[in-house]
Amino acid sequence: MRKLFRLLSVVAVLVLVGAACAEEGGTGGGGGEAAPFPSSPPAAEDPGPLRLLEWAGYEIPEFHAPFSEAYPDVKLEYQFADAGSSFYQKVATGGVEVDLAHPCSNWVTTWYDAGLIAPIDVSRLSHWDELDPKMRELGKIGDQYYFVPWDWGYESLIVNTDMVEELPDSWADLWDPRYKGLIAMEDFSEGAVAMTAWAFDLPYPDLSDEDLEFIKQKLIELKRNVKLFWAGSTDLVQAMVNGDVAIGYGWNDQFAKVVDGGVNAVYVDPQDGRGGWVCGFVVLKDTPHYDLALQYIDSAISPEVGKEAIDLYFLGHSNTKSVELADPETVEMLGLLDTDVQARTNFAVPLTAEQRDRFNQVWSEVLAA
Amino acid sequence: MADTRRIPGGRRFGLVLSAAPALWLLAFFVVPLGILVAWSFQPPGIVAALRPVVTLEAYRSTLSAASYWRVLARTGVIALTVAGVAVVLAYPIAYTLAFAARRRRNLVLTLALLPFLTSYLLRIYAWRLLLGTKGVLNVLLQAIGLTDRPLPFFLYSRTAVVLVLIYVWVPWAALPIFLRLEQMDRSLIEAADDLGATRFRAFLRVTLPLSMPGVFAAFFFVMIPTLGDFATASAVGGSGGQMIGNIIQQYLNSLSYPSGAVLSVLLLATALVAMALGARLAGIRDVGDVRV
Repeated sequence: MRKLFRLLSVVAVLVLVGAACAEEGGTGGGGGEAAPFPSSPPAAEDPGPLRLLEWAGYEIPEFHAPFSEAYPDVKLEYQFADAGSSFYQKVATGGVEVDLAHPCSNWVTTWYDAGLIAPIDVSRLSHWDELDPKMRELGKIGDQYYFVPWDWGYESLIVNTDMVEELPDSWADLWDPRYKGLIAMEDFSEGAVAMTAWAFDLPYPDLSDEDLEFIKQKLIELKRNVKLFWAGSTDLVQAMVNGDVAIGYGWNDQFAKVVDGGVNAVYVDPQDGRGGWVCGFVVLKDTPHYDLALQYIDSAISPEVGKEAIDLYFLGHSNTKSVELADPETVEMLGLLDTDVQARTNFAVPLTAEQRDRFNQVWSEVLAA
Repeated sequence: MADTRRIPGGRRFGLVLSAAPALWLLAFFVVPLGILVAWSFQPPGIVAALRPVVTLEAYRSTLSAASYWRVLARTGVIALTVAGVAVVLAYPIAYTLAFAARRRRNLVLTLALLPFLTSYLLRIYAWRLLLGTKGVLNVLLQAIGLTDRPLPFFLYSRTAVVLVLIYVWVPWAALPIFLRLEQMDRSLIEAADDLGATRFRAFLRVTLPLSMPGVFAAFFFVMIPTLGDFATASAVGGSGGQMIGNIIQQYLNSLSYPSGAVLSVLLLATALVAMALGARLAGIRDVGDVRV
């Protein structure tokens, strides 16, 4: 056993020495001056290929039809990731080299601080002005945009009205002893911290140490009411359809699936506003296909593609005109036209690496408690 | 029995034979383990790559949180319970295989191992159908009139984790005990019989003590991997059944590598201490003593 320890410590030292040698010169970002747009041949003269880091399932032709029509010879090469963290991790460690990636708004600052992404020349996007203004601003750092919103959805409470008589109508209601053992929370540190901050009127995400300590205690307290933490989207749908839980913290597409599963359910509109997630495109700084990448984004944010995102995948789409083309029943079910609700929604703001790490510490301790 | 007598040219042949697995273990076990240990000495935070810094900060901040010690203790209790019950349930299976199944033992062994034809995760998920509010167990209880409404506490609880882990491990636990019983000198039982011992007494005084190394092997065979399990707890554990593996997974998934590495090292140390204690309890000083 002692031998194993000795061997391990030797390897550990070697690894660190290796890291020292491989240390790359400084991270980018920081400065207040406008960063230049990467130069590249105009899209019409660029043979590609265009390399994308996407969520699995988002490579379907319906999601890039206008682009493929305009650039039929450009090959699209996909790599996949399955969580916000793995998108970042794959690119930051150099594991994948791509021109475009599809992370969510909450990660934009982390990508920017690591010097990975280029500003987006929105003047080259013909559909930019049709995008939801609130979502557009999520990716603004200094005077430049680093993120183009594409898909979005709500985070709120799905409630089985057969099992719960009095509906919660604010986030703080979740702590009501009446809901003991009835709730399913997402196993997601940022979501849990944000929700607790809204419930108790704390300034998310700029939380002090005292705020975070308070949130941690509150979340540990909440565990009495929480039956399970779901990780995969279908886990929540299954638990709600089976009647294992009565209240689920979940997305509007999950709500649609729960209703589809035969549950009498409502999607709560809390006083303090629903949560919201927004994902979209970033362009990598070292891309040799900058203009082509922008053309791809412009195709993705067109209302024609937005219609497919809504109808096929139950997603919200950043282009406000998409809902007009989509199936009215789906739009209604997902609550995409409710501008009043949307205006009060707390869309996920970008977090710095430091904020995210602090939230992870809180959440890990809550899970362990 | 299994003697370690030398055979001519055995040493050199052994070296040649073990070169490939040794390289494999070095590349895919020792080096990754070294990387893990290196991460635990990084400053806590979200960083994509190792930096040439060594600090105990991650140890300080992580190990000072009382809840991690609690979850480690909870994990230990779960692992001990699972290993204990699995061994008790596995013993009769091993006994049947060794002494009673005779010509049908191939069939019995196949039946015992049949569940492994299905993936581990699928089998865990299948338990949801059994234990859930609308699950088989609740439907059964209501049908025979024992309860008038579904009981909510079977699924998503610590009990569910223990139950599923026992189910998963029982066939594995039977194997080392079976091998030990199989190798046993049967004339010893005949001797006990000749000397007037009842069958039960002969089992208690002869068979059981002789099979103890197999029992200990089975116990640790189950306990050590259970300490690090996270898939079971995340599928059926609910908010009260999280194990230390789940906390490590949460850290690693969210890229807080240093804190996750510290907890991994803590888990590793716990497993090593448990093994050392177990070896001492079982009187094992050499791997040859285990003889599974």
